[in-house]
Amino acid sequence: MKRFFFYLASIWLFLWLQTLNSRWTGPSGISPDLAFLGVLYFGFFRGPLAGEWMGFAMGLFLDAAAMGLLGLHAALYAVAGYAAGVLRRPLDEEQVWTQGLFAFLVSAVYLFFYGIFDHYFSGSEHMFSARFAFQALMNGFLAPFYFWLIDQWFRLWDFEQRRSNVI
Amino acid sequence: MDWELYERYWASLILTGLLVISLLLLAFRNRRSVEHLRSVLYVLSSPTRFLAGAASVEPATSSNLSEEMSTDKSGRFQLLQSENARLHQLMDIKERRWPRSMAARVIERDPKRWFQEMVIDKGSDEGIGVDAPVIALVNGREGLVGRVSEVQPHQSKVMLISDSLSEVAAVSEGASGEDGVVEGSNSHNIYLKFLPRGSQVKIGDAIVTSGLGNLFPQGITIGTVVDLEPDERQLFLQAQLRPVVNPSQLGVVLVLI
Repeated sequence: MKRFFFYLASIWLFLWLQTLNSRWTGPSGISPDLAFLGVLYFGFFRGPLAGEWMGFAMGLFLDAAAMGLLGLHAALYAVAGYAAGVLRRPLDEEQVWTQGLFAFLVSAVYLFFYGIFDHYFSGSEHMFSARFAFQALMNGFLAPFYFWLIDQWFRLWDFEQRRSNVI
Repeated sequence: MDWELYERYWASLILTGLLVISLLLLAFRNRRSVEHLRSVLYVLSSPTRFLAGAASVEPATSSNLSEEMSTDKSGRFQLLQSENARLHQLMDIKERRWPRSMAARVIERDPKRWFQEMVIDKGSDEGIGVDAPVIALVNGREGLVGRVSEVQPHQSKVMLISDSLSEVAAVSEGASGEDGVVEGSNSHNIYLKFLPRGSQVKIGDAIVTSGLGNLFPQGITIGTVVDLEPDERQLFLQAQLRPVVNPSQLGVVLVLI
């Protein structure tokens, strides 16, 4: 039960941070995706099951809150969470540069597919823009610090195991 | 079977299920049940927006962010003065021209959909409906921002004129007075299309809404012509326009209801 509330509270926390982020840095056009980084954290440090569930739930809420296509972020975030969980083993997740590079690459792949899906479902003329690259870079740059913050949040809940195989 | 393989096996199965659900939601996005689900999720996520609203006294815009970097008092005073003047102009236009309009603050922009949309802080509970035109003041003149494409109780999504799905009936303010349709391209550029090959429209002409189609009122400035070229099929001329409104610098807009 405690774990359930932890996940629920985490979703709300990330949504809140992302909403704040959209309001403060969104208008500048160069802004990280904090909700996506939260999903990556769960995949990277807690495994593919946690990553995909977190991604799906967070994506649904984001789609509803941003009045976007319901299901678009849900699908892409779920895949990203799963991929982060599956790919974590070959990587040294404790390394800062690994976290940054990993977040950058997964963000780039996610934004690539976002452009294609958005083009297909909403009929946009252009699939990609330079802002996609900025966002991937910002995600990579911020990831180590943001992961550390989420880790502190996780510790607050005082679970027995801190990392890996904790779903 | 060790834990990791077991987890990966289940994760793959569940991911397939989640993707199927997502694709169904996308495929049936206009069904009432999907709309209902969206409303429920929207309500469930509303506390985060409320808290975010409380935490952000004023949303940052690229213009006021850079301006606020100069922290000296006179700079701040000038910033407040210009903001005040802008709001006064807006209220003046509202009273003179659009008494039923409503001022709204731009609260969100998604960099992934930069040229397509923005979110404002007024919604159906404040009387805003789908297709309501959205304008802004630029140097004391009304400029077209776009139209409301989706409403929620307390916020609305605005489709910008730079969205490739946006179409606005427009006319040249120059001597020619020729009309056409302004379309976006998901970039800085917007185009006045379907001008006759012998069109008299010139570079520098202002393009305004024509009022045809009854969606946008007549005479709101859209942009100025910066280039003229034949369209892809070589049947018509198209004029590339520089939009009069730069959405990146918008803090407050007027919604015409």
